[in-house]
Amino acid sequence: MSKNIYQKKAYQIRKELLDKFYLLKEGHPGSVFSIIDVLIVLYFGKFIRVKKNNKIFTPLDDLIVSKGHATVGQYPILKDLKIINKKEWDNWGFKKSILKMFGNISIPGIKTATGSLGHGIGYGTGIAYYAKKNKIKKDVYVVISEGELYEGSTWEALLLLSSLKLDNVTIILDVNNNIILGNPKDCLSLGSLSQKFKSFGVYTEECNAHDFKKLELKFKKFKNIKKPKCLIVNSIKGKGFKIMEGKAQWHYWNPITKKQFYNIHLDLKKNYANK
Amino acid sequence: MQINNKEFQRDAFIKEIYKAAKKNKKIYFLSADFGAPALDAFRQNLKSQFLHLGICEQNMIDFACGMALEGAKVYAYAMAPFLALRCIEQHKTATCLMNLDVCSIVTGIGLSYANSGPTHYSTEDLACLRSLPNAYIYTASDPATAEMIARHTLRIKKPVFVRLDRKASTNFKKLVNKVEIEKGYRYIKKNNKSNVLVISHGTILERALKSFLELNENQKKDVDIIELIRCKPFPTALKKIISNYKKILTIDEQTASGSLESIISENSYKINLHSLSLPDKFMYENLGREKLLDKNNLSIKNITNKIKKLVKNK
Repeated sequence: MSKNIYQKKAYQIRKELLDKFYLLKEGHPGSVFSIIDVLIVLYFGKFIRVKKNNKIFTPLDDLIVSKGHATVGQYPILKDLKIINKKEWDNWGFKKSILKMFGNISIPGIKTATGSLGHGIGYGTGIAYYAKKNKIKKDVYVVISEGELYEGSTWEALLLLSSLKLDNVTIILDVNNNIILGNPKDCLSLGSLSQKFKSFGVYTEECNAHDFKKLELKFKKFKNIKKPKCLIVNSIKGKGFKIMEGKAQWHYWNPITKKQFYNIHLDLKKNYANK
Repeated sequence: MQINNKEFQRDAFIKEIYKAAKKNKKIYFLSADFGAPALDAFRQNLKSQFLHLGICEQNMIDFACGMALEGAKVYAYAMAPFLALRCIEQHKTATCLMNLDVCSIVTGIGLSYANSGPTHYSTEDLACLRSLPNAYIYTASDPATAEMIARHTLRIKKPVFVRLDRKASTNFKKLVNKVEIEKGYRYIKKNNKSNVLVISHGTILERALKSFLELNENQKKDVDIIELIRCKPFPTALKKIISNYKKILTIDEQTASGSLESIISENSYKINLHSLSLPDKFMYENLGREKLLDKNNLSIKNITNKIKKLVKNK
């Protein structure tokens, strides 16, 4: 996939999400925009394969956004890939729609219920284990946040994942250096993340969360590594919008004026559309 | 395993799952470092369908749910206080919210682990589990009921919690049948026009029966006993039956809040409800289960007196 196509998608998807957040006056834009470029590469780079059967599009591989408040980032992508009906996206905020601020399994393409932190790797391990046992070709991608590393269940799941040697699981650890009350380093330090994952027997590399080419190369490389994998992606919370970037308060949507909304759009266009 | 005609509920349950798993490769059994004689055969002969998950109930449930999402039928097995409460949030967000085909075998309810102290008692599991939407909750009173519940779990695809006792026991004289398991309750004693109905579940039902035997013949004619096998969803037919009695007594080896008394109260209208359950406190006395029950509201004498009083003041 060319860099230009990713760039175009990054603009289009961000624009759609921004309009939706503005309409709904709620959501978690900081977390969504820190991970959106990774989602774009996974879906549009065809790491998550989609099958068409009788006009119904279904993912063959699974993506679990364990940091459930960022599931919203999947919706416009799933709509583009015709997995979610366009009407559901258009109706959201106006009329009845299946879409919710946190994903659940009634939404096509959303594999699990998330929102409470620390479940994703456990779910993913169960899915991947059953697929392996039944010789189903399936890759499972699990996006977790650094905040989820405080949950004990994350480490319980890593222990099992590593013990089962499931090479069809890739964890994407989103490090945006922001949890609700600030930088984890100033709250309760997580220490060396890379060392921790490696010590669990997980193949671990790091990457810029907003560099499409590098992300694509990493995911391609990972497909040939016969171990559970973790890609630590260094991201900027609220990436793409000056007003939000790196700002803890933009974990949640903040009220803005029409003029600010207009300026954010200009900002976005400048950063993505004109490049 | 049987000792002097006594059997452990867990063995009776697991034997049935083992039989089914031999034919159905979609059945998996997960254990959080918890065993049983019947499980040894499963572990030995169905290695690819058994997984030791380590002592981590939270991940066991998330993992089980991941498997269930792909089409597996999963049994998760651990000691009651930990499988019910340690991972209650997993039961909520994973098993029940996604309405998955995962059966948690909650073993050692009530004061089963009497000598281990409050950390090992499971005297509030019912209150916690039954607060979860979509949950199906069954309680076994004897090995035969455990066996029949096991067969039933193979037929339904729901988030199921099966509450088993730790001790080995003999079966009640009248064995439970399939229809009663499906209905979710059964009469243990039934007269024509009794005024008092005793409702109980689990092995504490043994004490209810012993108390019944302490009554004189006239008193016995005025008391019916029902075993509530499935307390959630509450059996619809039972709602009407309850309203036909002048007085209801619930007997439960749980603390009062949220347990059997609450269930009956929530599923009935304008009834005269009485209850015997454990006190709202942590019990540290190292007395063994029978003496602990005796000292904490659930002695046979206390139950008998309560029933007699209800019969007399009808």
